[in-house]
Amino acid sequence: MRGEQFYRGLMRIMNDVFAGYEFLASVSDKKRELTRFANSEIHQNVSVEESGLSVMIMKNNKLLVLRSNDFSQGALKSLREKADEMIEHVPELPYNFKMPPLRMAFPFEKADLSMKNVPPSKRAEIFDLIKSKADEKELKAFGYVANNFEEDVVMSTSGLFLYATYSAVDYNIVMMNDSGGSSYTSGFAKSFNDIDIEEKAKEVSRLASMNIPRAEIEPGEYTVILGPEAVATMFFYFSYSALNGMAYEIGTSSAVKYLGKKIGPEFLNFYDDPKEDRLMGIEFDAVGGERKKLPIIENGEFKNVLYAYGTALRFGKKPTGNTVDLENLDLAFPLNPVVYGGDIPKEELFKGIDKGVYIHRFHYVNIVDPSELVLTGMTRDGLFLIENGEISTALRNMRFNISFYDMLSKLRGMSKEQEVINSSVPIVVPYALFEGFRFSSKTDH
Amino acid sequence: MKDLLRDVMDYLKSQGADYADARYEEHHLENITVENANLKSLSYDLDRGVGIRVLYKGGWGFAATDKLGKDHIINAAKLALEIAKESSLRSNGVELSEEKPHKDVFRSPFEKDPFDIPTGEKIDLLKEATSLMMKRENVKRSVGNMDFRRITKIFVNTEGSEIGQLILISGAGISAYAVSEEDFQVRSYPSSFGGDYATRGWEFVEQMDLIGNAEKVSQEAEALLKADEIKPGEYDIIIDGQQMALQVHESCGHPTELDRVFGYEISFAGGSFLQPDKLNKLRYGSEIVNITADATIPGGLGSFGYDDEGVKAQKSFLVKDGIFVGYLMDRQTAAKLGMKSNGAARAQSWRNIPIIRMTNINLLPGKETLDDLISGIDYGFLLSMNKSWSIDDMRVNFQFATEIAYEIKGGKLTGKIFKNPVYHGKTTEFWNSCDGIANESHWHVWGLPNCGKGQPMQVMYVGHGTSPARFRNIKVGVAR
Repeated sequence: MRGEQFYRGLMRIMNDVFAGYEFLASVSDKKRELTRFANSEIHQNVSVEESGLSVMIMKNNKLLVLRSNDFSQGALKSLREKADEMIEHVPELPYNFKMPPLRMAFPFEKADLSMKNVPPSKRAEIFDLIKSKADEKELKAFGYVANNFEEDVVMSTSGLFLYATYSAVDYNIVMMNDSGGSSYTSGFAKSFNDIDIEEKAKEVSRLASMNIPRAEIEPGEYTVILGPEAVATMFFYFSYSALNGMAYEIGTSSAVKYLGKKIGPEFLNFYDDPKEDRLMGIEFDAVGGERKKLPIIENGEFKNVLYAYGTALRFGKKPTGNTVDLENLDLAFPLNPVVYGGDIPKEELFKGIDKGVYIHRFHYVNIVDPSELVLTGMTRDGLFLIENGEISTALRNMRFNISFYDMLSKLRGMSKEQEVINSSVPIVVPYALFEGFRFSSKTDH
Repeated sequence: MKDLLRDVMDYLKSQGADYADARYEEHHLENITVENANLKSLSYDLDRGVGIRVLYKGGWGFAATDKLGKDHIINAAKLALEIAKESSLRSNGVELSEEKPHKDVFRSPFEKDPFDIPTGEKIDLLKEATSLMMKRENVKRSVGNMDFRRITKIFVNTEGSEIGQLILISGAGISAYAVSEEDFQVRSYPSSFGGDYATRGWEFVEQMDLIGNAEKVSQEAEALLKADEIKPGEYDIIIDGQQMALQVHESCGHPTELDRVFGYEISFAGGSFLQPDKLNKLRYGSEIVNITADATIPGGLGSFGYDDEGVKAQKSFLVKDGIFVGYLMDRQTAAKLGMKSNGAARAQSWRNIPIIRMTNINLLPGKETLDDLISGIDYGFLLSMNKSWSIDDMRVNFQFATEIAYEIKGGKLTGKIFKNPVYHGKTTEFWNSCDGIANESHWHVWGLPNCGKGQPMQVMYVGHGTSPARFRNIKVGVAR
């Protein structure tokens, strides 16, 4: 890692190199290492150190983004030459662009320093533990474990300078029995000290041992409990498809119909929360925007969409601190999503069901109709009957087609317990009980 | 750089590595997005680095760095070896299929280097196309984009290979979004999700005629707002070439990846129903179905000179006369079957290890014209342009949505269109219902730049040569 002072020096160099332009730069330096295993052996083991510099430059209301992973003065000068060459051809923006305002803060030292230099033997130990749990039940183990350490900086000619360090461990575990039945879990934490792989591996091995499909169900509507992995997938697609402020403003988001309306029961709350301690707690977005706890669904009401920096400027809105990328200043996403749990213990959620279906995880979900957020996808890694309040017979996988909003209107309960799921971005979610969940077809396994 | 990498190979050999390779890659990218006739983003990206892969006593290690000083690269080599040693204690032993060393240089064919075309000319083209699309009252958003990439690679390995490659990629496309109070619909050209791509130059974009097609795209997007949905049922359908590319990709390309078959992707992308006991036995499709993996097609997005293990680009059959006959393989998986790699090991960049990826996976053309296919349908639909896709983790149960369906009645297109068409089925049942494939004059190699696989996730550019094809009694529409 280079340290805060390096980037202050880089800022001075960039001020010289890009003299005559206004700029905002997003800089990162990271090391990510990942051990992947399949059939209970390590088959992939990688370490990558990389840097990234994205610089958004502006002159006469013309905007251009340049990127490089070389911070040397020579490389920066080459970027400047490229900027001079390209800016000539850039038309003026149709609205007045302003660089984000001055903002300074103490460094956000959020990384756990024990994560700075992790030997490959550490990930191998985790693999050994997972394998031992799989071996106990004669299962095969698959998955990965990764560690990450990074520095992120945003700096600009308007005096903005923000520096943060983050660390992370993320993983997934699949265990599979001889019949091909499997179970899955994933997780995320700031360091190896914050994860309990043994407990997670035990639960995966328990469900994987049970997942020998003996029955199949017919397409139709069922009372279901979605496990945290499945809940995470559904809220990812809601975030991806419905929350972008740009799409809302021009009418190509389902939020046009549903923002400001009650879309779920009183106990449904979905926030973007940078202070959530179980997540990475990202302190500023790609343009250095301040991040605050933002209600997206509150007491069942769809309260807010997210405004990236460019969209906010164009439509006279306040940026919500969710800008993801300098190259697309209209792209916004919840960076620290949390679906709050209900007040029912998980066991009681199951006990309330005489006959239903437990969906552990979804696979390959996609959007069929964005105007109503109709989603399709398959179940995977465990589909079980719930009988008399308990998970019983394993089922063959099913395809579903359902509107996210229709699904939420039939939400009947959420567990008190939440899990941190390593989805496309890490997310905190509970178990959730729905009535009338529609399966549309079967598959062969 | 080549000499430095050669020194690194010698060092790793001296340290006991059974095998090692190194790749230097340099990617130059230019991306332009124009929205509603205004420039939305223009970006330029330079990304370069070195990735070193080591096999030690049957275990793999890989380390990559973008810090290109000699010391950094040597350190990366040492780290790759250390990691490989750790892997070797928990690996059942990797063996590689035989491959002779190559010393060669490859350059993808192009006429006009897109990086030589003035940026203003590219922006103006997209401005005109998106401006034309905005002339429709209900079209509230029109988007045009272009993407250019110049990739330079140097590959060396401990077996003596030294390969240089220059691959140039061009891509472009337009989309119109029509909005009413109740609905919104999209139409795209020539392909959805960013357009069509090829390992060709600026001439590829010129031949698309984005401006000439803008009016039709916006007209259809607007007309879809008032269109009906297809009543769910079983119909005879024709799938156009662009959607067929996705169909081939998901239901043939991925399940023939041998790493999936052996379980290496279980924790992410999934497995495959095409287990080795089905090789040369399973009737995958009807007799007219022939599917190849061919990295040698000039200009195909999945074309190259050598894969990222230094195996020469080649063509092989995956499905022949309807029978499943082959896999996509790298050196490690091919050795497990006692075979030789057919050159499908590809890495997204220097920071990634090569894994099995599609090259150009092609449904070979049949004998009929598109009119012949249409004339064989009493009542059915021509489905066009992918809108969404989903398939189970073993690649059996699939569901696709397209942007538009054109009604066919009495062997002719009626001119009536339907919105939100969806079709679904199971892979082998579906391909066995294929009774017509359009001929060479309708055949095109579509470029998909966004195929995701692996952990860490790698996004790969692949190609699919397809023409429209006809299928009988397919489930269309979903009750909801």
